[in-house]
Amino acid sequence: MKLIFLFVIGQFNFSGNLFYDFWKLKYEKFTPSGIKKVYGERYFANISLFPKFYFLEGDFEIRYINSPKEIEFIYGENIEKIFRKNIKISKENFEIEFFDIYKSFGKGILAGFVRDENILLERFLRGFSSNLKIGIIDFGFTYGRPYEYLYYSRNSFKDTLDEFKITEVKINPLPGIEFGLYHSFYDQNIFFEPDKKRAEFLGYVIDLKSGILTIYEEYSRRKGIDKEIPSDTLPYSFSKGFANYTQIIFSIKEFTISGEYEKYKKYSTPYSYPPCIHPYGISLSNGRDEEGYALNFLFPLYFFDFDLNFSKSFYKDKKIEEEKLNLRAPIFSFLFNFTFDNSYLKGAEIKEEFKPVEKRKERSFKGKIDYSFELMTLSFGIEARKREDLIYDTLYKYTEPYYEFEIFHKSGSLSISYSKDKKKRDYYSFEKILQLPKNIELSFFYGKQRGELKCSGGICRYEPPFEGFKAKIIYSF
Amino acid sequence: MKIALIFFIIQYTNFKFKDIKGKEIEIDTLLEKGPVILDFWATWCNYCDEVLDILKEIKEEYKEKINIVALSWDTPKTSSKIEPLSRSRGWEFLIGIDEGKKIGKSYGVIFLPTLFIITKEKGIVYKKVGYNPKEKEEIKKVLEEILKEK
Repeated sequence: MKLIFLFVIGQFNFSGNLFYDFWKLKYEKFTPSGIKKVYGERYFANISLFPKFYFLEGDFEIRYINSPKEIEFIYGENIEKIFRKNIKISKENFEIEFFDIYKSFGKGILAGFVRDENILLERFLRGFSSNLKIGIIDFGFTYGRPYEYLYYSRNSFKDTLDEFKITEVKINPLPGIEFGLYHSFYDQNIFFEPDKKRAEFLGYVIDLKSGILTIYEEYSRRKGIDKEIPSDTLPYSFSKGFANYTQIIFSIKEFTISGEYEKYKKYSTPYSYPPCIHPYGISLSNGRDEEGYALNFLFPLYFFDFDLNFSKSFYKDKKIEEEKLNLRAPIFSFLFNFTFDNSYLKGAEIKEEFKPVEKRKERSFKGKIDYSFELMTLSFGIEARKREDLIYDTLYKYTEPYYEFEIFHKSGSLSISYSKDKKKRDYYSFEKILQLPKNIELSFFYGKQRGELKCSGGICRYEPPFEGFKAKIIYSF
Repeated sequence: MKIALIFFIIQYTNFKFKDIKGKEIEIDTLLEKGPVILDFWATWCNYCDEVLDILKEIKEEYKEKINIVALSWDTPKTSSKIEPLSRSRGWEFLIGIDEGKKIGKSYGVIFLPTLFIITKEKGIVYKKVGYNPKEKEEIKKVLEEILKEK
């Protein structure tokens, strides 16, 4: 009995992460004598556990945040405590996962059309997601609904997500060939409206891969409520829209050319944005009407790897155009990385210090040189960005420099950066990361960072400014 | 207690994935042949490509003695760069997409890049989160110990 018990215990294992983040930061506080800059403290503790026992897998997360009320909205998280629990059962060709916070709304087949990886949670959503594979066919079904209302939003007047459902079928007749069909809906509670409103989606995906040619095509139709769609009469009228995204890649040896085309018509939703072909990741119209294309060339020449990109999005008289060249060359112990970027925006949804930018011309250069010694690697980076912004009929021209120096060693890294903005304000940072045994990482940061748009993976987010000190510990096991 | 400790190993989760040519591969099959380095990355992640450059050097050194699997967290949209990037950088190992981040989740991956070394007998023997240009030596040390025991 003891042996059996011990054997059973031995089949149980878990991994996870412990994360603790402490900030001492400067922020603005309303006082009886006016707005003052004061120092405050913010704590963020997070434990994630992933236990496994045969066909059962768990995903548990406990999070605790404590921060001054004045900065809650700036840094986007103001729930004091979260306890999230997901349980998954997988057995051969079937799996089902029960969740109580749905962090990834939408499935892979929907690409970016009905998915927002970082959905803002207005409610805790309870539900399940299941998948069954029979031969060459994959069936998927996801359902969720809220069970407890929590105030969790930057905007207290924002509408909230209610019940949702996603059904999908994928067929994989041969390696490199995949077809998919999906249907989904979500309900939205509209602020000040008595009834829920529904948005419904129907679409297909075609994914073909051969040796030299890859074709990816996605089409989706939407009908129903979409608050972002302006209407001639009522703001929440019944409306229809569609989105189409096509990508073709042609590749021979090291030479690759790829083309993308997208078109959206009345397709925006508060919970997802279609994939953008330009780095700003923003709409040219509130109703998400947009058309665009991009061309990308990837090829080696002498020591360099060339990555050349042209993209253009447009809607009526609005547009975003960009040309970008990235060069990368490892030569002996050096690694060179240069990027030249030229872009033009007109009528895009960007703001500078809360003022709308009607037109922007931007040219930037980024250069990075790494040199590796036996025990360490030194990295020096420089960036210069030249901008011309037209705001309320006034043209603002400015150049912003940025310098960065990093040292990498097997025990960690040290990085120092300096930059100036258009008002000649200084920004600086010192960051030390220590990588200790047993997957423990300690990091310390001191400095002043500006608020700016940061783009990654086709999604752009605004990162707020920060001034102060941060200490972080991450333990992965 | 001793017996409990012997049985308590950090197990790996068997999984299947499709490589960038659409071929389905099972991790168990690769583990029959030797240790596997499993790396989670994305084209949009800072320094993830540098880790794959390190893995390329390791593959050139160890050849058939090890297998390397690099699973990407790219979406269908951003994944267009994977194949051209792998060709131009000469990544001659298995590259696939972790659709919906399912496999990464079952390995407890939160940050990118995260790298594991797995053996059939002992499961996960090494885990590394983040990037350091000097990590090649650490990985080689672990691989040498594993191959010596064989």
